[in-house]
Amino acid sequence: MDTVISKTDANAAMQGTAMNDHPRAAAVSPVPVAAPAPVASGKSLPVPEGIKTIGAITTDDPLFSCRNVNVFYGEKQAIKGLNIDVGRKQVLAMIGPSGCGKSTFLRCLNRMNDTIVGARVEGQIMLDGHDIHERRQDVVQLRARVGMVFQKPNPFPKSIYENVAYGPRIHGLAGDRAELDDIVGTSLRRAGLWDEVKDRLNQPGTSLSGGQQQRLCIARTIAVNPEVILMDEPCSALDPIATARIEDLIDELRQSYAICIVTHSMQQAARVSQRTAYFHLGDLIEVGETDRIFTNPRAKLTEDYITGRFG
Amino acid sequence: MNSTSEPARGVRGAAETQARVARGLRRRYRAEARFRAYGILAVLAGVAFVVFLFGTIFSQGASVFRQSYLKLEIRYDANTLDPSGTRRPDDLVTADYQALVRASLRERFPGVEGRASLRKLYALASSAASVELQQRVVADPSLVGRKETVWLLADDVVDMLMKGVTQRDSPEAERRLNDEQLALVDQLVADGTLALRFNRSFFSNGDSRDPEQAGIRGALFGSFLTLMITLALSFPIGVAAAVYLEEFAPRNRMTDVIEVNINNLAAVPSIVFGLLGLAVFIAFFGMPRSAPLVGGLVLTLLTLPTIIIASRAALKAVPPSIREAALGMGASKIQTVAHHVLPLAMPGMLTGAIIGMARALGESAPLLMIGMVAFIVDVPKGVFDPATALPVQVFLWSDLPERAFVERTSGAIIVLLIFLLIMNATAVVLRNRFEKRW
Repeated sequence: MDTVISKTDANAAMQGTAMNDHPRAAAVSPVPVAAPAPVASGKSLPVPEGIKTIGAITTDDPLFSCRNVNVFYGEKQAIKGLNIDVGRKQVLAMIGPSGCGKSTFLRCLNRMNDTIVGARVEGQIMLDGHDIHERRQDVVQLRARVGMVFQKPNPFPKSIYENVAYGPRIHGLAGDRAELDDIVGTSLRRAGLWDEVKDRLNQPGTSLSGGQQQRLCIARTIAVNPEVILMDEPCSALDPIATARIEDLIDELRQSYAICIVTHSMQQAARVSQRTAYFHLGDLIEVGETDRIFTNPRAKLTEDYITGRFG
Repeated sequence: MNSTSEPARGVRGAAETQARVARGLRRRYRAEARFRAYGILAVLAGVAFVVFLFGTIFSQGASVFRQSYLKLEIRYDANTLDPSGTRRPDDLVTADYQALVRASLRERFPGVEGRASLRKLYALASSAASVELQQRVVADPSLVGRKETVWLLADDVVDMLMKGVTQRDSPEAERRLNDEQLALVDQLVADGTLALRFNRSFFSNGDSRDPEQAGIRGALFGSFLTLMITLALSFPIGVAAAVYLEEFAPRNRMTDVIEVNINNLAAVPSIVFGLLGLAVFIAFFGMPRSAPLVGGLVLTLLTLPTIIIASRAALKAVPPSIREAALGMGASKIQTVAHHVLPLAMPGMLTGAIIGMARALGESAPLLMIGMVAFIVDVPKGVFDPATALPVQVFLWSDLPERAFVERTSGAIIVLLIFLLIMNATAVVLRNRFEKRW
């Protein structure tokens, strides 16, 4: 209950600042910041002066709004002063050469970096107008809102049913067994796995093929009904057919969720995403509409990368 | 490529390269064969030692499972046992059962006369025979006045002769049985009233100064009680410590120091733990000496490092992707550990615990320090009763002069080895059966 109250308070406070301070946003972005949608509860934060990122870092009705994010692993800085918004119901693809900070940024969004010894995150990451590093933000609750799918399919060594039921169970989402069965069935159907596994829900999740395992992981993630799904190279361990299925699935899931996907495949980024962000050595070089990035990149580094000149 | 210019240094034609490879090949294969030979030799040496050890112990100890028994017809004479005729239990306990055994032997050999000869005759039966009769009568007082044929323990000197340890053609002065007794034994063997039978007293008796009466039940129970205490304490403490250190503790100088010290503790000589137990548990806390409770506490100190190290290794072997999956679902740290990490690490932890227990079972030095080395006849009934343990019993018996204790020492070692084998086999089975693949 008190989260609802605090949310509205913060929104009221946010709305004031969001409208006034936009000195650079209009200059950088070719698309002017649109008027707030009626349902919008989170607002884009003001864009700081002098940022080097090219393209529109802001978006209409952002779910995440990140400003001046720095991430350090011990002495090494993995992300340098990153500013970006993540919109609702759209897919943001993050591309760039290995070690450029894409995965690190992804893991900031649900605070998975907390689990890494020596990792330090600075800056503001607002989810719906609340800083996720706020003291009153519970990390367990955050991760229930921001689900994650990993590079290597990692189903629990339990049955298929238990894999999907685990999230609802620990969060107490299902009142009784029938409701839990419903959640499991719905999640598996939405992940496009139901027809393949409906007769063997009690078999171990690890007995499935790689592509099925990854869809099981997606089903497991959407079973807790998150707002965002983070995907860290979800297809890198899969063959082209399984990859195509996952990409179709991402396209369907976009109807309900915000999706951030890290990928090394530029074709995949072009196919599944609406916005693309290009990272290079910890810097966010360019952000923009996917079509625009791939047809008309403005930064030299972006152009070199997507034309295959390096990376 | 090299047609236009002189090839660079180190660049050779294909034929020369092949020739060089071929020359090196034979040397490589020789090195490999040599290494294999060393490996096989090492394994053979190890196997030879084990065969020698087991062979010696089994050849010396196998005979302990059979023991010489005398078949005697016992008349429970009412006048001897219960002159007052009241059948009071107290009277029945204190009655002279030795007299029954002697009377039976005299009846069996009416020809033996004279004090000296009779004493030689009586020496054939063990002093345990009268105890056996007493237990029978106390259990069933209606025996008084009746007759019964019973197999009773023969003396260990007779037993050694029956087992061929004592040479009957050695000079009479060097034998503990004189010629007269040899003749009696031969008569008994001839009519089947002296024979080797299954040695139940070895498993039902506690320690004794008489070899034929000495059994391992006391030591076995002492070891069991001690190990139960050890397991009940060291497994939960060890697993909790390992889980905390591996999953929750921050990585800093403090945890490094703790880690180094745990590894150090695993290498501390066990006698030191015994001294510590003596100083802390007995001297400071005033716990009873020779008690399995104190033994268990000391062995807990001894096995904790083993269990912690094994449990940490098991936790480390759980892939981080499982933790990430659970944390990514919004499971809390403790849910991640309890629901996913611990079940996967449990087989490894149990294996570590069993190996730690096996080490504790074979440990004798620390038990010497806390008084579990005492001569204790009674079988312990609880953790506060004085007791001894199997390895300590081996140590005690190996020190005794009677020839019959040699086979008992080896027999106790066999029992100890069987338990160790069972425990280690369980560890292997657990590891193979429950180890999950991912």
